[in-house]
Amino acid sequence: MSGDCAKVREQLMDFLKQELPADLAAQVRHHLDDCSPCEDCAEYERRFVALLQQRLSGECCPSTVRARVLSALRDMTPPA
Amino acid sequence: MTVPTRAGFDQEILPHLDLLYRVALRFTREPARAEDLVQDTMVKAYRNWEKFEPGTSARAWLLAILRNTFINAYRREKREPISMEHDVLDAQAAAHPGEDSDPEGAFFDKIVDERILKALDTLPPEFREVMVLSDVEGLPYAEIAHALAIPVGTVKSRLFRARRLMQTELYQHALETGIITARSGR
Repeated sequence: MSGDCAKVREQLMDFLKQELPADLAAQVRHHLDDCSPCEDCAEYERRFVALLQQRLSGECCPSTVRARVLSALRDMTPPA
Repeated sequence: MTVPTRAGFDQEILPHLDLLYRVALRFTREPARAEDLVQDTMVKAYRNWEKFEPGTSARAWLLAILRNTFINAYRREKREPISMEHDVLDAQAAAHPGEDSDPEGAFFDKIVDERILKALDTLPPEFREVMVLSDVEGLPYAEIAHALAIPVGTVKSRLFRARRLMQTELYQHALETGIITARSGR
């Protein structure tokens, strides 16, 4: 693993969360295009995060809970 | 500055009710407790609505109330001190679980929902809350830091460790159930 790889691995989490400044993100993207072990690592993280989002973020607040909350708010004095 | 109103509350806060419920469910791990937590959070948010600063993140504000309410009233589990946060830089250079047998993480898709939830629920609470807000709900670092009242650097180190812990857990499960074999691949 080259020095570039070590640097990219450190920045990978920020890069995939789209929280790297544009110039650094461009450097990481460029490296991933050319380095298959680092691209594998990126793909591994992408799949892991996609797994959590797809499987666990679909649940909605049950309508009974929504109704209970709205009813509790109705009984309160309006703010300010 | 705009005067806080019921209409403003409905507009800023109500769209986050689904998110609030899911996070409450992940925090409490019991639907009945999650329902109470959502209700208590909403009542507190409404009562304190004049303290919300317009232009800041309503969902981070709301999640901060949810978390404080949870810690004060609901949490039975003791918070264990977090160790090894200083290991993060070393760990970042290290291989991820499955690097040799499944470098792209194809095995993740074959794991059932129930097992994913179990792996998430067994994380220490400080790691679980960061993982839920970042990787399940997709919040940026700054909003997570606001919601949990910790620095962005701490959000990042906890997220990194949370991912490795959960990936290790899922990888072990995949090995044990034969989803992947340790010597397959390269």
